[in-house]
Amino acid sequence: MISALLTAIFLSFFASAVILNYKIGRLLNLSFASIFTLGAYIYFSFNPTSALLLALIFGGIMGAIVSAATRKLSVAEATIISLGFSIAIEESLRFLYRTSYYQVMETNYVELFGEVVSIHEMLNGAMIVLLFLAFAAIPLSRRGFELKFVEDDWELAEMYGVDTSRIRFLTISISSSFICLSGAVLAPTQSLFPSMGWSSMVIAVIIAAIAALAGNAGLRKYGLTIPIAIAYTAVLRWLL
Amino acid sequence: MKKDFAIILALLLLPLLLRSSFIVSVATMAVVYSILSLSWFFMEKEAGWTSLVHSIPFGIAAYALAINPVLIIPAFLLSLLLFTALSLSGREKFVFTSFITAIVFWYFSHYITLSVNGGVVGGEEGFSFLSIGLWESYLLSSSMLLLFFTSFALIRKSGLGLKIEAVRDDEFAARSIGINAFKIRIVSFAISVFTATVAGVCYLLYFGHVSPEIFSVEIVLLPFVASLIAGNRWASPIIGSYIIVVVSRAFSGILPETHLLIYAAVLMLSPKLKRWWGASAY
Amino acid sequence: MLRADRVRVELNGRMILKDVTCYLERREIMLIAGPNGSGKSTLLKCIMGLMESKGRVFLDNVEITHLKPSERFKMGITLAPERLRVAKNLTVEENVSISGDFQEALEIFPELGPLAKKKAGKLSGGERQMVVLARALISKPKYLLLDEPFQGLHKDLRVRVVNMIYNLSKKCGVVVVTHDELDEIFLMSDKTCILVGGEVLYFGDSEGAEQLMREMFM
Repeated sequence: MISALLTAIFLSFFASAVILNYKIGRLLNLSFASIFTLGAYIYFSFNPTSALLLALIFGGIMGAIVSAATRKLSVAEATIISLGFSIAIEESLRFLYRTSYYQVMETNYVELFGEVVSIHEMLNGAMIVLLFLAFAAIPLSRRGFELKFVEDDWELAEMYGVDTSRIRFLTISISSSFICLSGAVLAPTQSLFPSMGWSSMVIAVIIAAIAALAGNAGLRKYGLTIPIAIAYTAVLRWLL
Repeated sequence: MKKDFAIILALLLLPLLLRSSFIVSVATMAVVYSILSLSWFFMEKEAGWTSLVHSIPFGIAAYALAINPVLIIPAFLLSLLLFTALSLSGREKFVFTSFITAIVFWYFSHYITLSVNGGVVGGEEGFSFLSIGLWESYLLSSSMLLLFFTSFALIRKSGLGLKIEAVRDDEFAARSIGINAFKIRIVSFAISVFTATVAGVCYLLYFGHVSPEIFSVEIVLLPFVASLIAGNRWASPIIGSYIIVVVSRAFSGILPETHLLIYAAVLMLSPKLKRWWGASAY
Repeated sequence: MLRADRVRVELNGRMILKDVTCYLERREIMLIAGPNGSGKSTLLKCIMGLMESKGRVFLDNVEITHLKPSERFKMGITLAPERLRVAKNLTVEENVSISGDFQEALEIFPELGPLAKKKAGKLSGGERQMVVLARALISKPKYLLLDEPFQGLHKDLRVRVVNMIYNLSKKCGVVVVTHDELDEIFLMSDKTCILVGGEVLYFGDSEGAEQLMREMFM
């Protein structure tokens, strides 16, 4: 139950990043799939502390490049370019590592509400929750109001003094940075292969699509990703 | 158009003149993918819908034929229904809803199994079917390619072609002159889906085996990339398919990721390529 | 002075604006008139930087052609767009607050008070237009571009808006694109620009345009 909840929080975080990029960046950022994978590979290539920092930096750089490459394009064109980036990262990882492997970390277990959970999973879960809260804080920040305006009508926001291209750039870069970091954080509990990010990506898009049916600007649709993700993981547990 | 036809004819005749089994096997693969790319190109250029879901009619047809040939018609209808449903979200969203649908389908295709004589077949392994042989496959696929290429040229000149183009250019204006835009959309989808279905049939008749890989991202993107790398003419998706097949064959031993890196580059440069080809057409 | 110099827009091989030049000083009103599809709104969008165009735009002798719309806004140009454009999922208060203090907006349109927490997408046409105008007016622009400011308004409000435009012209330059209340706006305007098919048919003092205006629009 607890690990399902942690998975749901991660998916909700991923879906929120997808929504934010769609609403502000005007693209379905498919590069997230490989940026997540990149984070996981960084974790296995460096020591944990520097890996987290590097994941944050590399994710941000990738996001900045995607943002710059998709400026002033239609949603469809920008989405296709982000898919190109995703494949480029994925194939580069395949070329560089040549192998996929499954890493089992040694860990201790604790009993929590009658359920045995690994400490590693708990720590990762806590980090993902922190990441999610940091992410949720963006719309609540001082710039949150402008963000809300850009979500609803970016041209109108631009007309009234909001630098929408800067907001777009920061949104894509920061969210990519967080996605890469989440890849690094979750790496010890995952099996690593170059296309590992796609399953999370596809589920996140589906959750985002259902949540976005709420249709309004503001926090509600991000909040909605949580119950949808919980419902998804519950259904999955029931099926399996 | 005559020039395009001549190029295709030359491409199709060349392996017959060289009479090498290796070249014919590569060419057959290229021709099958050319039919798929042509079906995609018709929907993109003629009807104005950029699809990333042509792997589904292509793959479903191959699966249907492998399981039971009677299923081909329901497979075609199912694909058409899917295209129509996805198109309800509009042209722009169609690009990514179609892509996500294709990926979801790829995942689920691993679970397509059948119980035969107490055992389970399908799943990761896929299904087998009797191949009709290399040369027969080549002749069949080539004939189909020529047939569809000619049919598309005729459709474009017909009243139906003009209606499809009118709906593509301005759906609202087309409706105002009495064209049933939705019906025309479905007709254009049906033409494209039918062509992709035939490509799937040719695929199975040649390879004699179909697995979930037929729904993979590579197949999803192949028509898009093939149509972009060789220009904006009607022969472009065919030439593009040949280039992809030849390049991936040539580098398969050295750097298997080559063609996917080409895919990535084409996708990243796609808006520029489109504008470039568009500008050079004038 | 706000000056559009040889502004040209081409869309899908069709010329929407052909080398349009016009200008106005602070504390002047310029009426842009013309039949539907003559490029009036497009010209305002070009001045605001919302459309790609050729030609140059100057604000107080500083070239602003390469500036983004947000930067032009900060330099003192405000556009109140046509078609009752509001951020539909935001409240009235949020819609207006993007450009200034909501209390100031209430001084201009007290009618907006009870609507403050209502989603702008649920407003009537007239209420939306008040939001559009209030948002533009409280931004304290040097030059205000009004695109169809009377759309959706009933007679009493139209009169108020006409007076508002007149009062505004004591503080800033006002460019008005309108089909409604043409007589009143023309009478108070200092300059008139008549566009036909994307070309300037007349640009100059309004007195000189009287005959043409009567023949074409009044």
